[in-house]
Amino acid sequence: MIEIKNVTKNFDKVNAVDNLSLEIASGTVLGLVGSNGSGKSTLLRMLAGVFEPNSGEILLDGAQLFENPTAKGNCFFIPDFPYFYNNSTIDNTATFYRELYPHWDESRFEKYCSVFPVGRDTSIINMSKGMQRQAALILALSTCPQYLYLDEIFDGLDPVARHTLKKILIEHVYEDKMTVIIASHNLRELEDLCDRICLMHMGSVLMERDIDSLRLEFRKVQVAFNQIPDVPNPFEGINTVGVWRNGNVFNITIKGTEEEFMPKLNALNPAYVSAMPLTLEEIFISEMEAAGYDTSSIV
Amino acid sequence: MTQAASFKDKFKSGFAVFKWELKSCKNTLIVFSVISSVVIAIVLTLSVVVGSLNVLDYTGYNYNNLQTSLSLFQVIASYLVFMLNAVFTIIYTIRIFSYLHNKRKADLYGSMPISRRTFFVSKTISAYILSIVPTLFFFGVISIISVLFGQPVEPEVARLYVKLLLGAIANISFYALLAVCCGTTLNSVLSFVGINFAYPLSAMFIRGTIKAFFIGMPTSQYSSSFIMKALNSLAAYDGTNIIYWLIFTAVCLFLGILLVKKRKAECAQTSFAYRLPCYIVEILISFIIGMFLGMLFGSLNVLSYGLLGFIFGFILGSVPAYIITHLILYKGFKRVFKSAIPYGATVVTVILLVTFCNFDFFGYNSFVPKEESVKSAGLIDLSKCCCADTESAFGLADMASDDYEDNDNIKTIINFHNSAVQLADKESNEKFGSVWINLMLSNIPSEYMGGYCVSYRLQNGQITYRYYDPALIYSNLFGGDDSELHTAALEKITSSCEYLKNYSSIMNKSVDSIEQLSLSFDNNGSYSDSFYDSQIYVAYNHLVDKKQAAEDRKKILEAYRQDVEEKGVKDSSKSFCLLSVSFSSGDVSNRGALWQQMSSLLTPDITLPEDAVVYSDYTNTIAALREIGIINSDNSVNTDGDYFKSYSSYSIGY
Repeated sequence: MIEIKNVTKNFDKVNAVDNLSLEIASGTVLGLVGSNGSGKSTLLRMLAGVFEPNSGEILLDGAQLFENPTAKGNCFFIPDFPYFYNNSTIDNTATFYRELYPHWDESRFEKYCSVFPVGRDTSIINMSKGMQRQAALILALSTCPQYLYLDEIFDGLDPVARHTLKKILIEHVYEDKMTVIIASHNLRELEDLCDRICLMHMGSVLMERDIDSLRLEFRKVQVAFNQIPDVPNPFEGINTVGVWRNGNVFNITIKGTEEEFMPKLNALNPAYVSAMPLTLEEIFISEMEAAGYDTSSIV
Repeated sequence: MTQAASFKDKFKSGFAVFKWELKSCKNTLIVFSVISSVVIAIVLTLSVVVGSLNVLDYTGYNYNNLQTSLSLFQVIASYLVFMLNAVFTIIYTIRIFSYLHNKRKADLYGSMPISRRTFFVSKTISAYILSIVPTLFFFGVISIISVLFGQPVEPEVARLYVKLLLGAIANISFYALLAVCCGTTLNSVLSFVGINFAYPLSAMFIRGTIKAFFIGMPTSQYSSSFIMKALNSLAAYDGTNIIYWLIFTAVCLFLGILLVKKRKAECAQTSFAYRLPCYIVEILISFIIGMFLGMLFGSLNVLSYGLLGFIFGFILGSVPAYIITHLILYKGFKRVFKSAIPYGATVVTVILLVTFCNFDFFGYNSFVPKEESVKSAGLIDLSKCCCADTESAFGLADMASDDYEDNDNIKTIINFHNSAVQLADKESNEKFGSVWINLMLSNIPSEYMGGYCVSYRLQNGQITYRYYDPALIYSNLFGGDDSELHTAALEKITSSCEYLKNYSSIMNKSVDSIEQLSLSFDNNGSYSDSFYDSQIYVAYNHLVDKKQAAEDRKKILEAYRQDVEEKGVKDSSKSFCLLSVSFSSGDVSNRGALWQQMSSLLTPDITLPEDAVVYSDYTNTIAALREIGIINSDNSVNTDGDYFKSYSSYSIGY
C-alpha cells in the first residue's frame, strides 16, 4: 500500500504539490489525470524517490520511501522521456538491472523481449519514441516491481502495443497484486485500464474515485421542452455541473444518480429526456470547469 | 516494513554501477589506449634511431649510448602519456558526473534502488580507476621496455607516478564536489576552470601587495607553499605538498558525499544546487580584475593619491566583473542582489586591508632596532645560502640571528638595514607600482632572485628580521651615493670565512649531491672577463666515465673544504683558480612549471653555480687537482689532461 500524507513539493515559488494526501491500495491501477502543471509528474517522481517532498511523508508498505534502496527495489518508474545512454541496448541495460534490482526475473525478460518487437542489440537511442517506450517496458516489467509508475506511457505506442500493454498490466495486477499508477492525458485508455481515477489541479486532489462509481455519479442529460417552464432557473434543486441551451433543448451535466434527479426533471414536463453516462474526458472537463479551468477562460 | 540496505547490498549495487560506467566509457578507453600505444611506439623509434645515429643535439648531450636514448624514451614517453591522461581525465570526469546535471538522467538514477551516496561514491571511484589504471599500465609498459634493454626506471619517471596519482585524485574529487554544487555541466566546468585560474592569480596579487607595502616581509619564501595553490587543484600534478593534497581530496570527497544526499534532484539544469562555488568564482574574478585596475590606477596616482586611485580602480574593475560573471553563471540576473552581499563584503574588506597596508600603522617598514637593544645579529645573502630553498623564513632568520655579537658587524648590519629602509620608503603610488614587479618576480625562488635577510636577536631574546629583495630597490640600493660603502660592507660579511662555513653550499651541501664542478684559470689567477667561457668542467665524457668524474669532483671539494677549515679565506688577489660548483636541488617539482621539469630531461635539475676562490696556499686542493690531472706538477694547466681535452666540447655530465 502507498500512503501519501500531507505531502508538499515546492520549486522556488511554485507549489507543484500542495498538502496532498492519498492512499493507494495494493493491486489497483490508479489513473492520475489533471490539467497541465497540476503536479502529476511531480507526484510520480516523489513516489519513485527522485524528488524529496518538502513536507509530509510517503510510505511504501509502511516504510519511508526516499533514499530507501530496499523500498525502491520494489518500484520502477518510466518517465515521460526515459533516458538511455548512447551505447545502451536492451541486453546491456538488462545486465545492469539484473544486478541492481533484487527481483529481476530472467524468464520474464525473455518473454517480454519476444512479446514486444524491439531489437535487443539495437541502440535504444536510435529507436523511435514508441519503440523506446517498449524497450523501457520490457526492462521495467522484468524487474517484477510491486509498484509501477508510468508517465504518459501511451504516448507513441501504436494501438497494438497499447493493447498488449494493457493486457500485461491487468495480468500482473490480478496475479501479482502489482500496483500501477499511470499519469496520462489519454483518458480513453485510462478508462479501459484503471480501477480508480485521481483528478489533480494546481497541486491538489480535486477528486479521487472508483471509476465505475464515478461514471455512475455523473450523467449527461438531454432535455427538450415544448414549452420552457416560466421560472428563472428551471433546474433548481438539481445538482447541475453545466447547462447548455440550444433553443428549447437543454444539455445538462448532472452530478447524482438517476433516482435522484429524474423525478425532478419529469416534474418539469419535458417533451424528451435522455440520460447517458459521461466519458472520463467529459467528467474531467466538467470538473475542471467547476474548478475554474475551462476553455471559456482561455478562448 | 522494508529493511535498510546492508553493506553487502550497497557494495553489490555500487559495483554494478562501476561496471556499467566502465562499459559506458569503453570507447573512450580504447581511444586513449590506441593513442598512448602509438605515442610510445613513435617515441621509442625516434629515440633508438637518434641514438644509433650518434647525433649530438644543441645541448651537447651525447646520444651515442643506447641506454641514454632509452632513458630519454622513458622520460619523454611517460610525460606524453601523462599529458594524455590529463586530457582524458577531463573527459571521463565531466562525463561521469554529468548525471547530476540532466533532468532525464536524474529521473533514471533517482528512481534506481541505490542510495545517492553509494551511487556518488561508485561514480567517483570509477573516475579514479578509469583515469589512473590505464595510464599506470602504459607507464608499466614503458618501464618494462626500458628495463628489458638494460635501462632502469628513471627517478623522474617514478616521480611521475606520484604526480599522476595525486593530480588525478585531487582534480577528480574537486570536480566531483563542484558537480554536486552546480546544476549544469557548464557551470561545473566554469567553476573548476575559474577557481583554478583565479585562485593562484589572487594569491599572487595578495602576496605581491603585501610585499609591496611591507617591504621587509619574506613573501618570496612562500612560492611553493600550499597556500599559494590551495584551491588550484591542477597544481596537484606538480607532486608537491602531498599531505595537503591528500587532505584536500579527502575534504572534497567528504563534502561531496555529505551534500549529494541532500541535493535536490530538481536542481539539474538549473544554475546551482549549492551556491558556494558561484560565490567563490564571483569573488575571485571580481577581485582579480578589481586589483588589476586598482593597482594600475594607484600606480598612476589617479585622483592625486595612490590609495584613492586604487579604491576608484578597484570598484570600477570589480563591479562589472562581478556582474558579467554572475550573468554567465546564472544566465541572467537572478539572485544578483543576494549574491552581491558576499561580493560587497569582499570589496569592503579589500579596501580596508589595502588602506591598512598603505599607511603602515604599526611602522613595520621603518622599524630598525637600536644598536643597544641588539644582542646579536646576522645577515644572509640568499643567493649564497645553501638552505634558502629548504628553510622557512623564520628558520633562516633564527640561524642568522646569533652570527655576530661584536659591535662592528652589528653596526654594519644595522647600517645596511637603515639604508634599505630609507630606499624602500616610497610614495603611495610607487608602492602600488611596485606590486607589478612583485607579481612578475613572485614565482622566482629567492635563491635565484637573491636578496638579503637581516636578523637580530634582541636583548629580550626576541628575534626580529626583515627580508629585502634587491629587485624592488635595486636601482636605489646599489646605485645610490652610499651604495659602494654598503656593498663593500656586505661583501665583508658574505665573503668571510665564517659566512662561507655557515651558509655556502660549497661548504655545507653533501658531496654526493654535486652535479657540476668547474674550474677557471687565467694568467693572474683571478677572475677573467671570459670566466664562464674558460671553465674546465670535471664531467664525464668520452675519456672519463661517469663514476670516475663523480669521484674526482668529490675529491676536489673535500680537499677544498679541508683547506678552508685549516687556512680560512684570504685576500682574493692571492687566488690560484676559481671553483664553481652546482648541486642537485632535490625536489624537481619545486621549480614549478612543467617546462622546467621537461628541461631536466636533458640536464639534471641543479642549483645555480656557487663560486669560490682557491687560494695559492690551499695545498690540499692543489694536490687534488694535480692528482686528477687538471694541473701539472708546476701548477700550470695540463693541456693533455682528459678534462681539458674534452672542455671544448662543452660536455655536461652527471
